Amino acid sequence: MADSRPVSDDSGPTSQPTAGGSADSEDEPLLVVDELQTTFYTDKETIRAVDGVSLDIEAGETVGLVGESGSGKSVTARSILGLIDDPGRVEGGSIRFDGHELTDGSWEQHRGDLSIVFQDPINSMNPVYTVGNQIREALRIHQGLRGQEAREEAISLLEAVGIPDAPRRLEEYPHQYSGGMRQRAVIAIALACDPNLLVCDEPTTALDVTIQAQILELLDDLQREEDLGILFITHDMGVIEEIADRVNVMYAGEIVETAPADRLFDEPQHPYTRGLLASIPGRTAEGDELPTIGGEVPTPTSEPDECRFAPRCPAAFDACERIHPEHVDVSSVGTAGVETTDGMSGAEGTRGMEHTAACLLHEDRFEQSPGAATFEANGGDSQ
Amino acid sequence: MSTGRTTPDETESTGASTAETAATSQSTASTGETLLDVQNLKKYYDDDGLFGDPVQAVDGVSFDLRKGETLGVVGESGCGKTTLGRTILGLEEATDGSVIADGRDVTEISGAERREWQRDAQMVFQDPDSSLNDRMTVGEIIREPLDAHDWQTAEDRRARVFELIDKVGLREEHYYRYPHQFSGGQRQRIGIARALALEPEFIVLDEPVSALDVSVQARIINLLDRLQDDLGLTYLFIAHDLSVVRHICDRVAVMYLGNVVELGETEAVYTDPAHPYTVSLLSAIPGSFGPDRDRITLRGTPPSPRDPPQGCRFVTRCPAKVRPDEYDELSEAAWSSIESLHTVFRARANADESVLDRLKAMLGRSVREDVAETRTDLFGGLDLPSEVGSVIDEAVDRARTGDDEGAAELLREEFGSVCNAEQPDEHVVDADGRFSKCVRHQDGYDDPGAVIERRANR
Repeated sequence: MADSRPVSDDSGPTSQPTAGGSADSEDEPLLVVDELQTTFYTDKETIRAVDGVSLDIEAGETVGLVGESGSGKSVTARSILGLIDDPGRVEGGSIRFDGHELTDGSWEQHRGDLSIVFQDPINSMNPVYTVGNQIREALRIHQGLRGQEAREEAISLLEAVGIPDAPRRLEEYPHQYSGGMRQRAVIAIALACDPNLLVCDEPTTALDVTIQAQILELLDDLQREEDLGILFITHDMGVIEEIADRVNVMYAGEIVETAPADRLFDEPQHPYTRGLLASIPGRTAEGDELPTIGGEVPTPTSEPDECRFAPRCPAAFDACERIHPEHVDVSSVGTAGVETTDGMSGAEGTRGMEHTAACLLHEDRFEQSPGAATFEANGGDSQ
Repeated sequence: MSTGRTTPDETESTGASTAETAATSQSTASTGETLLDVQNLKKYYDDDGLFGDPVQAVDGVSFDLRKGETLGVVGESGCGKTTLGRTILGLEEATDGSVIADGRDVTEISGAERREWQRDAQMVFQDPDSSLNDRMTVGEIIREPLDAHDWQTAEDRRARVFELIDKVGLREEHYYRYPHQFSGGQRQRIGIARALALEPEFIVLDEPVSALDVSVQARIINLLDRLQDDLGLTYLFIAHDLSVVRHICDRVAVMYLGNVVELGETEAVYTDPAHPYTVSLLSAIPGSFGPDRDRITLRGTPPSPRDPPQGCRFVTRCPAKVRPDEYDELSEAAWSSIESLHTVFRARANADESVLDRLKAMLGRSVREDVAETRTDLFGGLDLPSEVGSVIDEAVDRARTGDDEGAAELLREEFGSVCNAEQPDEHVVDADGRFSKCVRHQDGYDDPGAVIERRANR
């Protein structure tokens, strides 16, 4: 992945030669985001909310995006869907969907191919229309269905998302639904657009753990049936472990580590990822203090010439304040021997199997060992 | 931090360590002495009888809280955990039952006694964004309870606030700042300082870390842990995050629809849950943080507390429900469809429907054909024994003419069991006095865990 990235030498939206070429989409993933830059301009400062993010999603694959609040996850999602409003702008990089470039303003042509499910289902629906109305509206706009045909399709969509008694439920208003059912209905509306890519922005955060399990199961089923690509955004590491095939860890506008989900949880390589995993209560023996990461996610306001995590990093050394780390391949770090036998080191057709981390500890030119990056209990609280 | 660097936000990292010296050091381990004895506590809303049935938010909860322990309360939203905490504190008036502390029932007290209880028992709220007054400085917010209770002299109060600010890991200059200048984690520290102001011995923590990022959450959990050690506090820790509860709580109470269905030592409950609801709830924890067993996905959502099911509250979703012997050979798929249909009828019976629609249906003017549609969806591919099929047909017929209540009743009579008939008693299930409310703990029934496993593998 690291070597497939172009150097970010231009700031304007790049028009790709592949735009419109369906031949290329054969071997290109469903979605390719390359060096995406989304910036917000306020009177006081310029915030680089998304600062050079690259990721791709294959059809039928779930890609996770995790990080603390303020790391830029949601802005990434909105950028991909073309939902960035003033004072924000998508300023650079490219977003190719199914071989078509989106950043030159062609989101309109792909409305419906990309759908989004937001965190809060009650705010995603219109309270004065019935659920059926809202599903039928999407069906009319995106699939041209009307009348009885639309009603039948709406019923089968509600059934597909696991709402019992669909014919009657169709005529009810969002407030008559419970929280979990509302989120199911929102997913039904998203599916009514017949999307190829579903972006889920913290879809289960507002839900109880039992309902969350139902929704995750539902997404899994839908993905298998429809061959959907899913970008799943959450701050909950447990959820990401459950649902994602690959995971991107985001910090202060940048992706700092990318790995297959199993590998990320077994062999996290970036100190930030290690800190995140360590601070989850379930992983520490009961009675012990939880390891913590001191401080908070900084707001990125200028081009980085340092590691943005360095001020909070227990393993930071001098160079971290002078050099902005690039992604390096860490697939062969840890679990010695395993990675060589299955030949996943950069071979064709193994896209997405790589494990990369943007941390100087993993660059050979520095002496420091990545093993030093552990977090202590209490780290952020007393000195 | 090991490097000794200054963090971008140093404010979260100061203080607290001095708390150890500032306070008397007491052991966390509960002394076994009872602080609170909650007996058959009930809180109903809208119980004036004018607008239908009351909401039975807390419906007969009994437990004791030991000095120095942390008792977790978990359950889905709407199960009554917050109401339970608020009722114990006297923020809600109890409908029935008692909360005995220091030999008096705190749901009955008034005047000076009540003010004393308000000092002893405090609350930290879930949402640090809305639980602090944005027009007051941090100093004023923390001082407010001291002012309200006329605590010593003005000078002493001021000194006390600075002491508290330090104790929760904030800095002196924060005294003069406003809440909006703080992050979520720091705001929660302000809320904790306010709760500590009057030197309470008991604090209800209502989802204190739910709104926080995981790294900030860890810091607040550590702070709460340390404060408990230093000040000998007793916590009632309300949360829906099961891994947080496992980390911080000595004992845990699992609530469902206004009832505590299981209560026991945290580790015992997590490693070997007894009640079918606890089994299901724990199995829903995502990823490797959850238990190492098959996921049981519960159907639907909890029923409305305005109209809880008769018998066991969990009966509508229970994976281990007792079934009548004569239907022993019925497939899991058929049972699941029958339960779904029952839920559909109950939902229809409770749906707000105009009187006119209801009348029309009763008079046979508008036959509800959509019921038949739902029947086909649920039972379409299933091969039902004829006696089962005819019961379902009759129920569907009742619903078509508007008698949803009757349809649900018929299914309940035909396919129900002891679980639908009686509320289960508390059964002690381990040596530490853990109890679980499920009929399957009685002799003559198979254990819930075994039944769940058997049905999952059928």
